[in-house]
Amino acid sequence: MKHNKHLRNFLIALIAVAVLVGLFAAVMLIDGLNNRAKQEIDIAQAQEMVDATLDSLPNNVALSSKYIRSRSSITVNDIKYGTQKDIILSCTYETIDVHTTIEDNVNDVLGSISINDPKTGKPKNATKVQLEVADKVQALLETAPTLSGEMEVYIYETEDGLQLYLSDEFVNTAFGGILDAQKVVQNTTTLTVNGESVDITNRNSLRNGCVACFKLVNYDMAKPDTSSPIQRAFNEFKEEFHRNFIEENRWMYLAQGLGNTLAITALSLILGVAIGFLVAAIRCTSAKTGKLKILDGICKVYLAIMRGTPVMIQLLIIYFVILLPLNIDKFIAAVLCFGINSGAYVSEIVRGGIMSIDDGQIEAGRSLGLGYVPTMWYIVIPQAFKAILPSLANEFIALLKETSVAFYIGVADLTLGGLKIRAITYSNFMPLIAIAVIYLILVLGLSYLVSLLERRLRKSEK
Amino acid sequence: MKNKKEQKVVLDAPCNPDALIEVKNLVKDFNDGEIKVLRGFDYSIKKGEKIVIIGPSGGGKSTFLRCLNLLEKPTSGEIYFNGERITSTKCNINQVRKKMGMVFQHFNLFPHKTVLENLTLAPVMLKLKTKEEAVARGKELLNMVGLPDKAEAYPSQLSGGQKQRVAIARALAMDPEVILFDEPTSALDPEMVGEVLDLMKELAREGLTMVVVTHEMGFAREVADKILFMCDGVIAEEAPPEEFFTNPKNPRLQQFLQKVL
Repeated sequence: MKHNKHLRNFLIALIAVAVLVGLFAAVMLIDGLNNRAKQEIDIAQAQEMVDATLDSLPNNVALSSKYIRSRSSITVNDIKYGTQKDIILSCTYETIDVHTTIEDNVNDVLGSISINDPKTGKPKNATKVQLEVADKVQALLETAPTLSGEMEVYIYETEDGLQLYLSDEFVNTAFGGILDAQKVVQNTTTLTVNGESVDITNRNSLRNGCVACFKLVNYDMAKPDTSSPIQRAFNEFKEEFHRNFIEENRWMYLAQGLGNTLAITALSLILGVAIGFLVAAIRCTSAKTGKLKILDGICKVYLAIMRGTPVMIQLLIIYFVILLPLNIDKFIAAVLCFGINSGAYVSEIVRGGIMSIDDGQIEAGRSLGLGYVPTMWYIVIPQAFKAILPSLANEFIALLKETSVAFYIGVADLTLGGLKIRAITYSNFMPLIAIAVIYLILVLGLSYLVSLLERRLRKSEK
Repeated sequence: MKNKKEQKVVLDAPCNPDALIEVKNLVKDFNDGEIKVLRGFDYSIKKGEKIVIIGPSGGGKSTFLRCLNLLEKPTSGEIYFNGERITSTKCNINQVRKKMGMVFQHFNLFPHKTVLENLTLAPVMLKLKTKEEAVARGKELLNMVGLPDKAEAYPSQLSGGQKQRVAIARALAMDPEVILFDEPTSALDPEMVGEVLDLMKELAREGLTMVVVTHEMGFAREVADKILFMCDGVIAEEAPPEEFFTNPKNPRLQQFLQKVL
């Protein structure tokens, strides 16, 4: 019977997890399908886009642009649709090998340029150098070998319509390695001029001229963000999470705070239960036997004050009015405050539990010759305890949550830990939700433990 | 300490030396005299006597019974048990109650203890018996009340009749000199009354002193040495069963018997 119950609970948990996972998968799948490009495109249109983009590009290339373009072509062969609002074009390309040509002849190209203007004897300006280099390169490219191969080109659906994504790789491949060639020129610092090795690092006009001649302007563009809202939210979440908890080990604020919260709760729980049982014992004895009238009166005043004022005000008074002048630590102040406060509620719960036990139980105990105290202790309180356990658990849970006001006197509890993170990162969502989630986990854990205890105590009722 | 108590016994000696329980001018008021339940009467119960108390509701039967072991504190008057004045403030009532068992209308078994634990709790706690002795005696008593297989059961698993038999066994576990029965069958389903009454008859045969408040006239007739008719806070009539039923003198008793017989 009991085994079956555990098994059933386990199965329910398993099914719940499976349903959640399934739901998540379904959402991701629908999200993925939803993120497909909606605009249809055929091969001819794709080819047109590729050509237009290639035509627009070399105009920004200082170097023999028309020549390179006239010998470069990309042919679209096939179209596929991805799940990132992307359209993948499978292409074959043909172009001249700019990179190898420049690499093999960089010294010829650059070295044959005279650094000084022969007419004035002064260093040439960058533009002149650039034109000279361009001439040389074009002459070289006349004889350059042809490259060909396959490549994939991406078109993305953006808010402004379809857009071809110009990656470095695309430009480099379409123009025979022109970007690699550019790097070769940029990295060349020594030239042989008239058989003499010349360092051009500091000869700005020459260097700038050489580099400018290969420079492509505005060929690159940011890859359009076509992720779905869910993916975007997920990424933002990840970033926020990282910023709030991982960076500079900020989670430590929460961990230390959690430790303090648990310590305050546990200590005030012990204090509260002790006070609660004492007060309940006094009040019940007074109610059942008519003795201890004065103590009963004191207890009533205590209960009225503790239950009639907000716990936060009690905390402020206990710390700032009573304990601070005595130089007593605020952690102790918090424990005292929550313990004394909780004691009031615990005592009422315990008293209610004891009073709810049938007087016949006391009579039975007394009629057997047991004294008042043993009768209460062995017969009434065990039964009362079982009856009040749920309310007592609720009080403990309330206490755990109540300790969150301890940050008002600067106790570094869980709440203050989260608020510190919030003050550093200016995020609201992450720190506050984190605090809430941790409290929730604690409360659920506590509830579970209480249910285990209840189940053990209930066995005598079956 | 013990010596002192024995001295007390001598000092507070009752009038009637063979009485086990003696009551003198017993008065019990509730609400500061507003409600007078017991109006002052004397009575004495000898060892081995079976006293059955009957009467209309509100007549004071249960209050009288509950005064005997001071579950109700008498407003005035004296009660002696074995010659000791238990109404004295110096009397340790717990010592007296060890010898004076009580069986309640609503059983009042301890629901959080097993049947056997119900029987052994008080003897062990009061150090009258060791745990082993108490368990042995408890099992013996369960055997006697016909519930040997219920030792490990909890009270909630028993029927009403079984509960009351356990309650009787619990009282017997203290080896009392007298057992007070407060309407032991009133809360039972009719078909369970018999088993409890049978057990009580058996105890009566064994010579236990019993004071029984009940409405079971057949039981009273069969078992009682004397039947008391309590009405308006006094003992209106006291007689052996035969005379009590065949020749009632008090007009209220005549009326009562007409209604119940």
